[in-house]
Amino acid sequence: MHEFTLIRAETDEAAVSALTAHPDARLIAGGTNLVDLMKEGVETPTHLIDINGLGDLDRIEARADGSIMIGALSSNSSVAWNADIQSRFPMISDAILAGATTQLRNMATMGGNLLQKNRCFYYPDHNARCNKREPGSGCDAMDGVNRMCAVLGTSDQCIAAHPSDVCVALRALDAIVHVKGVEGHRAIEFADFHKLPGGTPHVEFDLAHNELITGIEVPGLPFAANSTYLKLRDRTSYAFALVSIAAALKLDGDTVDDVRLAVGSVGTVPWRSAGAEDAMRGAPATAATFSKAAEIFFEGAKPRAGNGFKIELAKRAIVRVMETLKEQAA
Amino acid sequence: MNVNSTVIGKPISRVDGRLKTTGAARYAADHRPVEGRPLHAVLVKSSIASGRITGFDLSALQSMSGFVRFVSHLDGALIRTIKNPVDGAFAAGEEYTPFENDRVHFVGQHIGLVVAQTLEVAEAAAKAVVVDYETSAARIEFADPTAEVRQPDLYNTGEELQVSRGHVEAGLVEAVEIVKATYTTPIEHHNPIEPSATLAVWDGDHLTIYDATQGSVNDKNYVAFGMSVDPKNVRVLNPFIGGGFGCKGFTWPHTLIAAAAARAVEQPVLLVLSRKDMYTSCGHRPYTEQEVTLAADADGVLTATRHRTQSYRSLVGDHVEPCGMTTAMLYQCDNLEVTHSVRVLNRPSGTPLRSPGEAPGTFALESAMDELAEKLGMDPVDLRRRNHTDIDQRNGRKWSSKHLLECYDRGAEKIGWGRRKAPGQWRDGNDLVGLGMATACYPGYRMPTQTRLTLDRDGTLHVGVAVQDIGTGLYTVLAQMVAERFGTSPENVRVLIGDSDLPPGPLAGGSMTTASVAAAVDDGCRALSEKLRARLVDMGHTPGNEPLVIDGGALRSGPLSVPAAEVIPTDVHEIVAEGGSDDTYGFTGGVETDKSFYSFGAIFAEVRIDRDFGIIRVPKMTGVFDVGRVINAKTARSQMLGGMTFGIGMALMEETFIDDKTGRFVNPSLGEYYVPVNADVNEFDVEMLDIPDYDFNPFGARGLGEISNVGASAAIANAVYNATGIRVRHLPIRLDDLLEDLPR
Repeated sequence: MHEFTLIRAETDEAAVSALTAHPDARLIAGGTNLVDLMKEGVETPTHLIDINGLGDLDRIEARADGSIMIGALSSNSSVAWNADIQSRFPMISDAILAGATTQLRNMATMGGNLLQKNRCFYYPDHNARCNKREPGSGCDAMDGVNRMCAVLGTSDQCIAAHPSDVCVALRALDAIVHVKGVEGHRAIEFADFHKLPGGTPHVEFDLAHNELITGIEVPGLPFAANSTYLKLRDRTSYAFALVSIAAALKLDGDTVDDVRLAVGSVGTVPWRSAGAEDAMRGAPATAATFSKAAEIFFEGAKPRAGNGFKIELAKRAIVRVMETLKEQAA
Repeated sequence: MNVNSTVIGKPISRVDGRLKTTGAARYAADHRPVEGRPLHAVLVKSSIASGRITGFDLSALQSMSGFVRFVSHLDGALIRTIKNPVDGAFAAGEEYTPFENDRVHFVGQHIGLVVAQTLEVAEAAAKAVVVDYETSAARIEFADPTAEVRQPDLYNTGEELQVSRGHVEAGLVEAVEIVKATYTTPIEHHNPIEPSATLAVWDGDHLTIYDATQGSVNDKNYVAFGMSVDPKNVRVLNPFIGGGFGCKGFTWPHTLIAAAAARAVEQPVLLVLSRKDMYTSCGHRPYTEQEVTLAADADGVLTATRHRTQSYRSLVGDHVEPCGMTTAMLYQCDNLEVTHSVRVLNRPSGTPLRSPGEAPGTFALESAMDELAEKLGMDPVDLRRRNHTDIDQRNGRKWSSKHLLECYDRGAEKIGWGRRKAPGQWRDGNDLVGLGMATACYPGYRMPTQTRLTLDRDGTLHVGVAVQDIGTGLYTVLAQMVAERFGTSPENVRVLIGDSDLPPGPLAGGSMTTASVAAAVDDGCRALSEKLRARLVDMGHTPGNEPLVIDGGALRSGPLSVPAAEVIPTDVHEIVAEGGSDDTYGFTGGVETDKSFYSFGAIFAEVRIDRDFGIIRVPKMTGVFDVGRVINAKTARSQMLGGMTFGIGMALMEETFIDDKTGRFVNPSLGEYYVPVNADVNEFDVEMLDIPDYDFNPFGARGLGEISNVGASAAIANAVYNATGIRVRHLPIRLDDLLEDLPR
């Protein structure tokens, strides 16, 4: 029987030093993903470090400069229903409420959501080959059931799609991940936080084993008040996205003044395209512009046998979302 | 029958509702032996699809604190070999005895069992068993050209699977329009919320089993045979079952394995299947490929029908998905050919899943009818009316009671069929809107059933029968039937079911329990009534011809009223009578009759489909059903709501994926196997015609449940076509099936 030791950390420093002392330890907050994977035997930590007692990490601080600092232990629900989040960054609220269930959102934390594992069918199955679970074993998804897998950022080692909803919004908003380690504080650009699989698909984050996520900073972006999140999936609730869109739009008359666009469940990480956004900035806010940006977004996409539909679906979703935001802005 | 009954047909809340909603109802895994604690068991399952077990390395287990025992085929004859799956006394899911030998036939086969002091240790020990295999070539792909193909003659009901009448080729020549298309349905799993579970407790040679089974008597006989004990010494208890949908119908190996392990370790053993276990341990609906040919003359009258079903079976399970049986019966057609073949594959065994055959079969047939209507330029409801028949096409008999035309009329009116437009022409904002319909039908089955009726000195009636309530409302229905016969209220009736020691009844399958118990209860109540009248006469009373009423603690007949406490001698406490019926209907070899028994209905669906994304929503479904007399309007409606929800799942979501290289199911969890959530279920409009069928049983009920997801997937698929002009001939229908061709 796989046994583990539960350690209750009282301070950030204690959590970090417990991680440092135990190379096979895991932090646990909501546990909504970790506990499932422990039951499957995919995660086999020797120590669980319970960080739910850490002081101020569940605070949500709306600052005068328009930014919001979200404590890593804030529950998904508390963020989704936070009035400042809803007014400044509605796409964050929309994204969270499109995910999981009320019960899960009440338990799941924001820090944990950043570390959410992929949902490739082959990942938890010990009888299947999976380079994320067992480096070098191979990838059964490549020529298997890959309808849910990624078309962007894939490698010959891994095509698992990043499953998070809120990370798509955070990517669009250029959030900053704040972490604490033995050498103190570090800030990580959201774009750098999730790593492409490349030849090392098991290395998923720019995060050392003994670093603790303390907060997620969403920089002020006034026009993000006109933002939204659209999630397309196989059933109305409690399903991972086939495609999701997080976008914000600012118009100057009939012209796109500024825009943010990230697409979820199409990439191995939450996906942005500078080219697509550049193509919209300064261009007329028309379906043709949005459509062109969508084409650029998916340049270089590599579908497998089962997931090619995601590309066309996402392109249409981009246009729909931009049209909606345009109407809202007007 | 009192048509103005205050009991029959009323929307009475479940008599077991409080127990269920407060958690007081105990399911198989909730039970504990009277003495001591049970040991916990976890299955060890094969990871290869074909081969032999050459050894088990148990070295990691021996040091585990709390590990008790590992059992496998190496233990010798723990279980008596069962050669024939159906010897008359029982039906098993597989024609294979667990731990019979070293052979592996599919991934997930039970090859060992770990018994330990706790569930956690048992799980860890099961994972630590290292199995050595000698693998052999496996046939997994459906189209594997080396797979053996069989054409079985009969379904498990005794009905013919290969049917031919008239001359199909000649009928094709007569036709002005012909539809010939292939439809497929995926592998589907039952996924009841309660997993299968068995607690086996031995007391000497006597075995008590708390089992999540849809058939306690069947279970008892199977386990008694496998354990080489007299069936009298086996008692199966299943007072509550958390859904079954067929996967707890026939008895599966795990029940026998738990019983064998409990005997081997001389302690009670509790085996609860994990959700993953459920995918390979107790059946599934196999993938089907159905080629349907429908030919019609200019009036829409069918001149030829052909329905060829290809499916598969495992090496050890003989289930055939009987998709064409409905086709052989439903519409007037003199030239017909229905065939079924199965390919023998190294996949887990199939088994009936809610409306086996009917549900996938009507997807194909009723989609093809829709295609034919389109080709003929005819309204789909009208086409069905033109091919309506009052004669069972299989045997020339009249239907006992058939009011299908009324179902079409009511359904069309309720859904607003007149709003329907040509394909792809109905738009509302970003939505494409469509309407579709299909015929629903399900056989009327009835099995021999015995009951025990008891009156105690309080004037309370008791009815006992070894049937089970799998969530359908049977407790309540039985109370209502007895109450009706004695002019009392259901609160005065105690219902005892879920115990194989009670007078025998059928397993809960084929939507037959209500019809089966109806005849038995009627006879049991007659027997009790006669005994009580005789007793009243013995006491010097002269009961009249009026029905005997038992209410308020007294027996009444006309002006006569005698307290139950006086009628029942103090030394006996109760008066007991037994009654029942040995009749079988609907199965081959049943009662000789000039009638055929079937339930019918019509299902209508409205869909709204996003014109860009192809996301399909079902804002409204209407079902109108002709199922005989409804005993309880509330539980009957709940059955239909459940079945129509099932239909949405089958149409739009449910699919188990198999890895063709390894033979593994790759999404064995409720997280990845999608069924509808509340937000997918919108307005359901259910109507029962409520016309009694007294030819079928004295209460006039034909039984219901499964009929409500028959036709549902076709109605939705036809609505999708109507909304978009896109014909999808496979299930489930997902947005990626529509994306390219949507009329944007």
